[in-house]
Amino acid sequence: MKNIFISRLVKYFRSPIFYLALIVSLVSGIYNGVYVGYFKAEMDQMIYCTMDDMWFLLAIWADVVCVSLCLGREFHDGTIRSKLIAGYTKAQVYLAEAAASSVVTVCIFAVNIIPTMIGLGYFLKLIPLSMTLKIVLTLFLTIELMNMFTLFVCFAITVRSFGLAASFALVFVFYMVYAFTNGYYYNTAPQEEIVTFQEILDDGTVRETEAPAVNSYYVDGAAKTLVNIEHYINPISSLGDVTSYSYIPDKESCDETDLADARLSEFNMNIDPVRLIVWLVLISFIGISVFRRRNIR
Amino acid sequence: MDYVLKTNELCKHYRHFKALDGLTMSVPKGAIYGFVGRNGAGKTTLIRLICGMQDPTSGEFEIYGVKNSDKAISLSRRRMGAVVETPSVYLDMTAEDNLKQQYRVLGLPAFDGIKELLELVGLENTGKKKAGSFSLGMKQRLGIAIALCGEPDLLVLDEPINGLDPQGIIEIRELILKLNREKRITVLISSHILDELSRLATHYGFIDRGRIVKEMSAEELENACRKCVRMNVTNVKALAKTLDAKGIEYKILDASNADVYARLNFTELAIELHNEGCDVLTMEEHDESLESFFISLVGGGKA
Repeated sequence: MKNIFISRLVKYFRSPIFYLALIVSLVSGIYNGVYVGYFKAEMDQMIYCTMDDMWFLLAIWADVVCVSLCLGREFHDGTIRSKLIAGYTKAQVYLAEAAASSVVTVCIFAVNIIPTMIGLGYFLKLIPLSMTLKIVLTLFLTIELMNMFTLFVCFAITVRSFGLAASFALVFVFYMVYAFTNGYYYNTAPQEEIVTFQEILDDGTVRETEAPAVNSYYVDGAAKTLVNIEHYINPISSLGDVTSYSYIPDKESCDETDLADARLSEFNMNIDPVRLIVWLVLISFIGISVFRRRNIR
Repeated sequence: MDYVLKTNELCKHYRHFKALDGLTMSVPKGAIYGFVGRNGAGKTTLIRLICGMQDPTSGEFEIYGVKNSDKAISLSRRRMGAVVETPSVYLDMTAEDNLKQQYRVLGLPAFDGIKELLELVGLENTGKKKAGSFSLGMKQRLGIAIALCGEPDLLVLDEPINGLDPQGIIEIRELILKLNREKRITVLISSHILDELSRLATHYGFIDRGRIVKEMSAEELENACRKCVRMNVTNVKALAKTLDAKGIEYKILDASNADVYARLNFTELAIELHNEGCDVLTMEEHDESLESFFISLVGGGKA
């Protein structure tokens, strides 16, 4: 398995798509760190500063595009056959693919997260909290995410029916959209929020007034319970948690330490390493089982 | 006789469709085994099973005496190289890089022998040209070179000359013969282009509807493909009457042509026919082709 893993990594590192994904990820990381950090500092919204702004999503999409294109190419060119003929089992091929795509994912995320951390740290004067733990957890989550993605890709491209493959791809897209939406709802503001209204007076001047308004995204009751459960088991949502709370303001730079502590406890509850490992093993097991049953063309 | 590959009642079903239906065959060591069958007869399915890309529904096969259910089958597969349908090459890499990639997959410690392999398949001058811009023949040869990494004893080629131009066909044929004669590699080659196969194969396996209909050596096939004399005459009834009287086997083709299956004194026959009012217009020796032999084996009907 080591040999296939190395050969796959070499293939990734020689692929222009990989470097394109790195550039996209790096640029979005720099933007996130410098531009967003600067403006959030200006707006005094330190506590809500997260790395899962839309620019962080670019890194995920760059990663997904890179891995799916490279994996898809592996199947399209038929090079997976030479590995099976060389005496490797389907399980070994699958695990090697999942491991290689996880390493690629870590690389792509790293070039996004590092400039973001530097930027946010510089502009918002935030201090890293338990950074080692967070990096380890982020690694787990990205590997977990890529395992899940490898499973989806492997299944989708080994199905014979184009219609089935297309439906599967569609389900995956919906899943991604749902996962991100879920993250949004989970982290949504309270039921009521302060909204700024603009009013044009008779003399042509604009008057701004602030008033409480109902938050249309607020989820309550049974729906909230479902969202919580899904958020707890979904690696994408969990990834959002890690990135959202990678920095907590220190006491000197932020007065709202109570709120920071509250979010920190939430973060720790969601990112349970045991759960992550169990989830990773489960995804890998499903992936191997599905892949082994497929006929390779 | 030593066999490198044996199958026993091998079956592969896709829901209700039986791609292989109790296939039993043996590939002798050192042979070029021509695996002959129509499209959809089950040739590629068998090759996929051997290569580990699919699992049989029932039955078993052995590669170098190791059964498919045995864990050591992986080691046996290491002694095998294969090109299944289309060559397994990275289209965005050069020929040399493709071979290096296969060396990595096999875990070979150094890239020794890559130059020799490229020379063997005639791709030594491709330089930095990407495999994606290769001709079909070049891709096929690169696929064979990749299959030859790790110096296999058995080479499995699935329809290697499909889509090739005449020059490409000749190149692949010469390469296969060279590998068999110089490197003593056993070759299992599937094809439905029988004429081409007859220039290569030392053994044949005829497959139809997932079953081996007949296995034979090239010598046996040569004997089976009977020679005849095709006669063009003015009166085919008179010819039939004369041949019947002599007890000679023949086949009437149309109103003026017939195939005669015997060694004859044709001067004597021509005189007798002339006396019956029949003139011989032309005569030519005619071999029954591999195609017609195959059709006679599988019945000629659609699967």
